Amino acid sequence: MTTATLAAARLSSGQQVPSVESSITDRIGQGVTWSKAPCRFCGTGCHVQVGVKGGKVVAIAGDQRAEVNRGLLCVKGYHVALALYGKDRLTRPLLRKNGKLEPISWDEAIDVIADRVLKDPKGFAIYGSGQWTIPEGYAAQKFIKGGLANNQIDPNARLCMASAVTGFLSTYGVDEPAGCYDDLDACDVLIMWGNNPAEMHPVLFSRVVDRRSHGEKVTLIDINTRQTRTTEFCEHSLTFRPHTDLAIANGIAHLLIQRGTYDRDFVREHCAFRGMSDPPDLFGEAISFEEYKRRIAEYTPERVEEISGVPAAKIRLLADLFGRRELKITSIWCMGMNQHTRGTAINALVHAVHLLSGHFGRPGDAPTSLTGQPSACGTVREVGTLAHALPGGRVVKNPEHRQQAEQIWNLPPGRVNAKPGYHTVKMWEQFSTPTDRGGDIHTIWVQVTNPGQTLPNRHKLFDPSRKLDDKFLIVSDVYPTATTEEADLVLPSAMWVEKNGVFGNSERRTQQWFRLVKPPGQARDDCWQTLAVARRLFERDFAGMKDKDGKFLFHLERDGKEFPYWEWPKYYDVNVDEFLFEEYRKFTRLKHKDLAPYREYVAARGLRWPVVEQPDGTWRETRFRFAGFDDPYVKQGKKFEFYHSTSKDGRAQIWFHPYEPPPESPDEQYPFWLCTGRVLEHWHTGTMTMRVPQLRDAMPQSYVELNRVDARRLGIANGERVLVESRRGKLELPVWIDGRGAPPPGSVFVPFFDERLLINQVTLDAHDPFSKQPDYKKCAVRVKKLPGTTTT
Amino acid sequence: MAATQLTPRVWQVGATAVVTVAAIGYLSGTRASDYVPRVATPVPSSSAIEVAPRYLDLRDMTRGPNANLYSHTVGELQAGLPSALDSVAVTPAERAETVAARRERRAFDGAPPVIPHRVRQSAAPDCLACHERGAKIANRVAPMMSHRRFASCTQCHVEQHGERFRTVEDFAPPNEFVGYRVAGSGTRAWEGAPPTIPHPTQMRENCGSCHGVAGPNGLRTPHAERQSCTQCHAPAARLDQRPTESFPPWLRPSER
Repeated sequence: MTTATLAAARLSSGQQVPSVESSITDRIGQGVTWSKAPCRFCGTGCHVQVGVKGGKVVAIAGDQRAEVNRGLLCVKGYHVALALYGKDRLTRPLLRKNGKLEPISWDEAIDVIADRVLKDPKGFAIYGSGQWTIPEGYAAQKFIKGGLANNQIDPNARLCMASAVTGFLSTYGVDEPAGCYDDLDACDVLIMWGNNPAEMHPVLFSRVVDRRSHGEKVTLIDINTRQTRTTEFCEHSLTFRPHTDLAIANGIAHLLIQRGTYDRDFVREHCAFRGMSDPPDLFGEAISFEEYKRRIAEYTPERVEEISGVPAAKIRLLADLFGRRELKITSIWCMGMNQHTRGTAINALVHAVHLLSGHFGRPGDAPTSLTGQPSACGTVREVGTLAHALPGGRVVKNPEHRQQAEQIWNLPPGRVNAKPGYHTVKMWEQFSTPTDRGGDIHTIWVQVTNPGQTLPNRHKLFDPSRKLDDKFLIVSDVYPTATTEEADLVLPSAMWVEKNGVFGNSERRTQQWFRLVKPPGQARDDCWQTLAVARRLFERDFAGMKDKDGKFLFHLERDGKEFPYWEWPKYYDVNVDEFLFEEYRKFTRLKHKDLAPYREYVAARGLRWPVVEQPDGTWRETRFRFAGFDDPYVKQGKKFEFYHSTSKDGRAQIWFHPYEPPPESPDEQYPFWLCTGRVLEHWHTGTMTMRVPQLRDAMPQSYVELNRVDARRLGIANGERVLVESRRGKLELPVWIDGRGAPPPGSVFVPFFDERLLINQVTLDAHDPFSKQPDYKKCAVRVKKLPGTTTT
Repeated sequence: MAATQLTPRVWQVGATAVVTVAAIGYLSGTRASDYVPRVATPVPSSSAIEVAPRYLDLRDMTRGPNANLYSHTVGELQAGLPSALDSVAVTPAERAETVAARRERRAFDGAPPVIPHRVRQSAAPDCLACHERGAKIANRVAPMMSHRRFASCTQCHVEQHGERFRTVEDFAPPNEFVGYRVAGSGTRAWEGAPPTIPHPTQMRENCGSCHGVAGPNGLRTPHAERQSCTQCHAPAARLDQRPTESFPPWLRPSER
């Protein structure tokens, strides 16, 4: 076979065959074949080169042809291959019998799941993930919304970026950032709102700070509740009282208005003003500019200082910068603004500051939210694997949207249910409520995530279900986790380059990869698992798995005949990913999130949507949405157009939201703020990174950061054990003073990666009213010294 | 009215007090003093007089409370590096030992090495003080960076032994990953021809990091004075992600 036919064969089956580069390495006798794949970990979406030898991944390199990372990775990315090879990989389906997990066959496992569905299809839910590949999420989405028609599907991304979504929707009428990472190369000022990219998005951070090494000047501003590694690189650090970021944003807007330094032309041409309606609604109500001015007037720098603790001079400094049109200003944020009971509001306010000041839509001028998971954008936000959504920015409440979905899925009219399912917190609450007391979710199938560790207030949302006999928990995962430990059925999954996949990163970039090695033991793709259950239900005559012609919901033909890809040995005889992706692609035009054919992504290191076909048949990606110079959907001759405007006039909404106090603040009994988060070495719940020796040895266990002043007052030394206790739970931790980060006095920080030290037993489950995203970043705790020291 | 009448009287009292104090001061000043001036001990010759050292000399002085002030400085560490002109004789055993030591700190060939010492955790530490040019003291080497300068060192390099406290049982499922290691050296067209580079050069553009004067013994080049390595030693395009042969039909021109 020639290289070209080899590659073509690989494309059609999506199976591992030697890559283009392979013959070359072979010739010098090293036998390593190199292929591209996006990194498994965060939402940055770096591409890695994966070196495979003898059926195993043996090396990783930064992909030099990837625009995102240009050959560089972070320590997690360089060690991503090791995540596949922890010795305790799950390799057999396990069913709990008499309290013990015992091996069963895949065939039995699929039957057990089918039984759970048939028992009561309405109460069967899927809890998914921003780590689902796009085809995996799409299959689960169609299974639930088109098959079971109960809309009971929600992802862990609800806990991570839901407020960013509602921020975009309420401002632009359509989700996801208008800018992209190119802004990082062009900005003069980078403002990080409650964000620590030096540890959480290291490749993006160094993309900015390395500009300084090349002699460029870029001003970094850290708006934080705790000093971090990021702070050290910043010209300005503004430490605010938790929750008061709304006052800071309003303070900037107030000064822009008062001084007249807002961008009059941009606001006149492209913006409208918005305030909260009564009763509250995500899209609020129109307000006049005069009304906006009246409401914002309260936020003088002195008033903002009083609320936030940030000196008035620093609020003026921010307003000075935003008031200068010749500067290019990019804002980035992630969990700090999203895991917030006013998450929607603060997201909208940061957009508002950029719109008001006209720092929008030029390269370097952008408000951009980042994601923590590799496909939170691709799979959750675009495929719409949320309880209220349908693919391509559609919602189940909209009859037209339902009808479009039914048409693409070839379903009988009325199949798609108009009633949204439960959002994450509610889904788990219903699962943990006895059936006879209205807990109408009887089974949850968890894929690619670890709610036993990440749900807030686990005692309330997770544990009670484990004591209820008729509640059944199915977990598909790659390692034993806090969730599999409690599961009734555990399914071993393939991960990352053990399967085909497509991810969508934070900058609208869709990225494809092929299976490069085989999964261990009997582990199988999550996508296959979903499709196999769907097929079993079809065979057992469950009407939901049939389309309106009686064919299987996931009917795939080859050579004019239905192809039985659900038989595992045949699964990779066709490229199921391509089949699902091409069907999903039909959904993407409505909101101008056009995706190119699957094969275009095979060729590229990701493409940013909308990807639009050109007259010569090539496909062009879009870097700057809504900007006439780049976005093909902006009407000819217009400089900007917000073509999904909620006010239906091409305008973006400048929102006013007042500052309001948080649901829980420190008091005499619980005098400290608790903030939770991540560290550089570990990703999410550490199930992968804690199995990588280099990462585990660098950061072997969790801890609590305490300010030196508080430590001295409480008589606590570095390394001593303390009890961190809230109204909901408590946890013993060693104290780290002046460690990785430094919280201000009255404030502590605990990372959440350590499954032995579950801080989510302590956190709050209060959530944003619109996004339903819980606040993991602030609640009140007390810190008590325990006897004994632990420093080694 | 009462206040104004009082004023002259206040002045009178004040003036009397001032005069009295001045008079006592004058009288006591005329008395003989208790102060005994210290007379310098006679010295044999002027050469033994302790003069304030010049800043320049301080570096070489090794006595007094600040004797170690200038030891372990970057300058001294760097002074420990051999000259580029020193002769190098590498035995196969030395080479094997060096390669083994290198591997201990890397998951696979091309992985960023872990840091064998403590670093400041709260920020990008001051790695470049030693690692920008490389440093050596006794047989400890701080290798020179192998790549261009990046600002956030801890993005890729983490402590090998990061443990600071332990309150829970160790969580360490073994990992069965077997990293790819470059085996052997590059190829030579004939005996005496410059060998090709057997490993990727990505993030290893600076050959001097391993092969230069700050490199470990087993890997040092016998001609460290020559600076343009790729003039004679050819890298392998295929190892450096530069495909050279044929392309699948769908590969975009920009990707070729």
